[in-house]
Amino acid sequence: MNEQISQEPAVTAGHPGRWTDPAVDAVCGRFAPFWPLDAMVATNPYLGFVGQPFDATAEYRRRLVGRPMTMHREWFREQIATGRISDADLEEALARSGSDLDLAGLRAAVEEPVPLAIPQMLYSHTRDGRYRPSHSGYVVQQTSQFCAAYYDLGQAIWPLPRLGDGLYESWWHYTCIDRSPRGMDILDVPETLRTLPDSPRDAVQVAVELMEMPEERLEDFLYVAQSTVGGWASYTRHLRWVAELEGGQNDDIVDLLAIRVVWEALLVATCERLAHREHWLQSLHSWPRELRPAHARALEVNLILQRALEIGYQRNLVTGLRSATGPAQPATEMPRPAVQAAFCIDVRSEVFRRALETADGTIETQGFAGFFGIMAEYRPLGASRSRTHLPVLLPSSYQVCESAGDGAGAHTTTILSRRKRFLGLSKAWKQFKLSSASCFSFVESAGLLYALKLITDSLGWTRPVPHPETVGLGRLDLAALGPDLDATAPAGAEDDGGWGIPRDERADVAAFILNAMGLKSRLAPIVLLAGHGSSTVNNPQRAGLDCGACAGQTGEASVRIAAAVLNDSAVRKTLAERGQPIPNDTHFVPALHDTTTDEVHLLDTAALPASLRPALERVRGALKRAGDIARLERIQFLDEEVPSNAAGALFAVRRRGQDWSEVRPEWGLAGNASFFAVPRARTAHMCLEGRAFLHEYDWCQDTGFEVLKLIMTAPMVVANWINLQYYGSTVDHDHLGAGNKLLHNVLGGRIGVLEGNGGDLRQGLAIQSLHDGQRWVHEPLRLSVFIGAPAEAIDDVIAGNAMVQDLIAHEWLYLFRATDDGEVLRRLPEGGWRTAPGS
Amino acid sequence: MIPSLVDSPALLLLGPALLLVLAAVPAAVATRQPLLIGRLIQAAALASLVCTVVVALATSFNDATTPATLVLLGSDTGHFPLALSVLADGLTFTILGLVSLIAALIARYSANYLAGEEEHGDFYRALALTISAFMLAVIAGNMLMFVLAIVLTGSGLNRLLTHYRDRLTAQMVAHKKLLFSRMADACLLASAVLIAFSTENLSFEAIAATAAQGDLSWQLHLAAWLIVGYAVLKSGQFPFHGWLLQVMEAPTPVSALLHAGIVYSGAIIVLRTHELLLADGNALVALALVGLMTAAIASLAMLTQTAIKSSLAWSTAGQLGFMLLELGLGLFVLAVLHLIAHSLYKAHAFLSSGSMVDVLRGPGSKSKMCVSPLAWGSSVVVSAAVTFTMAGAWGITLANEPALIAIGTIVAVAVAQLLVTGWAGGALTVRLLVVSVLVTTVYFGLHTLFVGAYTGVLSPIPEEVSPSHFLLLVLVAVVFLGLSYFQTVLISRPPAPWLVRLYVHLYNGLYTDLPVERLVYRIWPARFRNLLGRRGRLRS
Repeated sequence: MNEQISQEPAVTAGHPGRWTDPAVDAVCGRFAPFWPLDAMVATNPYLGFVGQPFDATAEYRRRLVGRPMTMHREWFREQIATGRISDADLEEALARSGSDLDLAGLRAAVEEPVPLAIPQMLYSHTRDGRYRPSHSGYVVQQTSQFCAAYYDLGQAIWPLPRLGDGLYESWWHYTCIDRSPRGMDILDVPETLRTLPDSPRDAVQVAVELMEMPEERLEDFLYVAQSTVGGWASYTRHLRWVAELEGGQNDDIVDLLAIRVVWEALLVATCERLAHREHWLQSLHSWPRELRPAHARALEVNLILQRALEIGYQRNLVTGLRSATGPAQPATEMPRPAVQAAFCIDVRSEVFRRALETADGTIETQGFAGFFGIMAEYRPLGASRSRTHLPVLLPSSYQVCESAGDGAGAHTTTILSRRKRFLGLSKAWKQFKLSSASCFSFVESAGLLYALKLITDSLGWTRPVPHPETVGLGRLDLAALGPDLDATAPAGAEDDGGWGIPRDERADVAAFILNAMGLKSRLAPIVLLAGHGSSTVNNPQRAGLDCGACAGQTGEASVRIAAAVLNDSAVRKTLAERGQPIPNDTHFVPALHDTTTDEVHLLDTAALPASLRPALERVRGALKRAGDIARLERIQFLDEEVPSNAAGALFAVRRRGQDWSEVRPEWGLAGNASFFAVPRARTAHMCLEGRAFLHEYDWCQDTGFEVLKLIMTAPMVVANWINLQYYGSTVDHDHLGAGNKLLHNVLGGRIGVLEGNGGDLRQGLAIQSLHDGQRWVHEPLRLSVFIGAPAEAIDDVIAGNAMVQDLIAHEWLYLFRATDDGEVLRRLPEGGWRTAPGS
Repeated sequence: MIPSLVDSPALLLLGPALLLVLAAVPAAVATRQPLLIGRLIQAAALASLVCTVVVALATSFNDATTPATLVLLGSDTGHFPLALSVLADGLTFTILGLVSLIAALIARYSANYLAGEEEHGDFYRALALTISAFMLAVIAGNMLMFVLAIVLTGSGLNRLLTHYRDRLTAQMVAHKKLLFSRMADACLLASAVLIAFSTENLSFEAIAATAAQGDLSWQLHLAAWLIVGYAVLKSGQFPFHGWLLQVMEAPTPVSALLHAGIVYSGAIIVLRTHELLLADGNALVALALVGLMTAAIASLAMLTQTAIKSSLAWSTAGQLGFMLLELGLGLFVLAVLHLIAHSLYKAHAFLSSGSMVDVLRGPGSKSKMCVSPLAWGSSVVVSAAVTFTMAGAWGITLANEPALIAIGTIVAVAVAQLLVTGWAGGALTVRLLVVSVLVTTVYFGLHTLFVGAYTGVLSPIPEEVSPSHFLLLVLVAVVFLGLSYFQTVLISRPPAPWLVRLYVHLYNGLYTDLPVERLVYRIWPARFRNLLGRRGRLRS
């Protein structure tokens, strides 16, 4: 896994004499991947910077692109005023920062005005004027518009014809035809373009040479240039990520950089006034190499305040962990529980798990990544491509398709052909609706029907478009369909033997799941495996609310596959032979937690033995009561008028899930700030406010610390990605956030969103996912990770993994260790453990 | 007593009046209670809908030969015919009912959509003003009232479009829009003045009566052309379409309101003065040609768009072009059908534009296939057979309605589009044939229904046409056949170099907007005054 996480740009050997290549690769490596809307998983926007310290990154970004990495000062002043940041927090943060300020000095510095951060200017920026359309904006617009056409995933009915090989070459041909530069007074663009080489890396070199770029400023220049199309840079980085995961490579991000740099060169080359150019070159030479003192001081203070904020949050957790009642009993000696319920580590599960434990004290809850260890891609019936259903850090091992339980048998074929017919009709209808010659007749014959649709959609009685999972399927079909573990290729796909999970590997899959979940022994009669998904309509970023561990899908397929594997009698037989038996009376029940409404739907219950039915009914009742409790806790952050009773709350959240005008269906993972890998017994007494990722981990059962390594390299890293996505989208919303949902304009079918009319592709989260109109609902804090394991074991994992090492040493997250005797220690970035400050 | 109250045009004023009151609510109150204002707007719009239905029903039971008119102020006649009046005819009922429904739905949508926005109340006030003013334009009984109401609509809309005043692009697009809008208003005002001087009466009925006498004065000819100019400018017709494509800088409900309502002001005034335009003749031909050109260009440009809202905006430009084409061909009744149907369709399309991802998340169909000219040709022949048979079944033939040559062809190529995708499969083909028959039945059914419903209000579809008019109809048919061939056959195969060039030009909207953009920057740049502190919480 190590190799996949620390992806370095694949340096193509290419020209030995190309002096620009190192800078090009370094800059392209700074951009984090961002996934398209139908698989919108959280990614760390600072991924390219984790090799350097957090503070240094903040300095770099402020100096070159003028972007913040903490909240603004006014916000911090409020936090001090309200007591959220205490003097003790400030002192602790000061002590760790190595600053020359003392507490009084810091307090005075906080009140000082903050100088405005100024981004460095490209040549295109210097040509902007008040009385004409901005050139810098035009360049971004032209690039963005071209990329949208090039990568379109289903919006354009007439897609971009093939113009050349690769992004850069296609753009080159496109721009030679495009007349808009002339409209912007940029003359002779095709002529100048023809003088440039057609390989992107060569083009970068020729372009910067044409601009007489000094070598030592090259990297900074390239970074600033690529940042103006940062959204597309992230999109192309995602293409590279996916390609490398599959063992290939993709250099589109370099093509994009070439396009952006060539634009600057075009503007320089076609500029009539030499003085302009000279002026800019001079300013380029004088781009600051370090922040000026006033800026440096402002940044330093902000970073101290940020740390103080985080320390303040950690105090309660540390104290909470210390006050855990008595030493935890060895798990193996505890009595067998009646029910175990495993949820995703997602912070929304924390609220529900706490509620479920309150609703029924005999239910034990668990936390595990929501894909439950199933490394599969999933192919719904009739779909022409499979979707990834596991964390994007990992390559998939299996391809599972949907069927009616009879492989490619008669029942499945009947349902499939019915669905195909429906889809064929809707495709023809869509063609009728959107073709240039027919759209007018469509309106005149079918337009009046929309009166009804408008009314029913407004009242929430119907969905604006059919649900993607159930489109073309009847109720009975849906009940019959499910993931099919057997190796049958779906209709229309080649049967290369790679379908399903081979029978002889299922026992390994099951053993892996049980081991990673710490469920080797002591299994309850009913083990609930609860994935999660949201229920919202008309929300382009819906996938962002679904399960990140399932690559932005709901967890349904994963839990159904996992339960099927674990319930398989052949698997159990093999496991028993290996000395790792699953009790005969244990049954795994898949379930789906709807995070919008906090309802849990039990799946595949027909397979349950009759003897367990009463127990299941009890679980059902407990889940219902837990839903009521969890909803009441959560709804106060959503609705101004909190419903007075449980039924009212259920109605209110369901309304949110069905309302096409709702921009805040739920708060998603807003507020996330901590990660716990300890036995639940140690956190069960704490109210973690839906801000914690809870992973079950008991080091006593972890022989060889394999599970610890897995947790620290996968779930912890994923949690860190989610955490920093929320962090970046909050502190630097204009660049790392997706802007205002009210202006969202879905691009390329499912590539991403634009804010308004055009500009760069937006990444990250929308403002409505972070801010309620009055205040930020997400408090930007770096992740605080608490692990219950011996120091040496943790240190070994850190030393063995460069990515984890970077995250901790460079302070992209905080690491704590909860010892067996109830003490909590903080890991110093440079190594070593020290007692953590409590409250 | 009661009948005289319920069929009084005064009842139509209730909705706009209530909305005007809501627009005048003090900003401080609206800011504190935005949701209340929103609910009241919904209620006012629904009240307007109910009033419209009541008056329409009452009027239909009265056997009045002329529609009721209510003069609010001043006098419609004399040297200075300065009056405000309400006209309660079939057209008023249809469009006012439509606008009321859309307004209520948009107000409802905006409640949750804008929740938490600092200027939610201001937004609602501007929305109330815009809707109220537009309703007044819809019920206007004379030119003067129409002009005043539409000027007010423009101002209200401008406030909605600059809801995000800190966005440079929002400001610039609003400037561009207002510039075109005011130019159009000036055309209409000039037209009103010309009509006032030559007929001494600005009411639409008087204009129709004057036109019916034939032999127009030069002032009236010029007035007719100015009205056409107004329609072209207000309907975002090529090459003045730039503003229409860029108004995504305002919240989605504003786009919906604009595309489902306010853009029809050009069509409405043409419908109101269609007798005058018919008497002139040439202006209508010009309108038809501009509409045809826009319909063709915009519907092709729409195919290339990659952003959902841009695609919808291009589609609006095209659909409006088509509607103006119908108006220009004298098919006023069909234009009304198009107006209503498109308004509903486009309102839904904008409000549900976030669902695009859901559409594509479902199981997709495979990549498109290559269509041979033969397959296309046979689809067209089959669909033409279906279309003309169904037209005949509804009693529409080339003999009694020469325009069928154009509208029949348009429907036929559309149905061919439906058929050509399923040409290969057995079961699918049968189903698609059934759908085709259904579509054509509904189409000609609605056609017949609307012709019946608007007898006496709008000029009927001409039963005989001049040779030059017939030529125009043939031109339309040829253009649509060409469009169909272009999209179905040419685009689906490996493109020729000229097609690639055409793609790039169309994707960029044929560059017509750039000179306008530069002009607007030169004469009316953006201003960011009094923005300090606004939305400061979001910016560091």
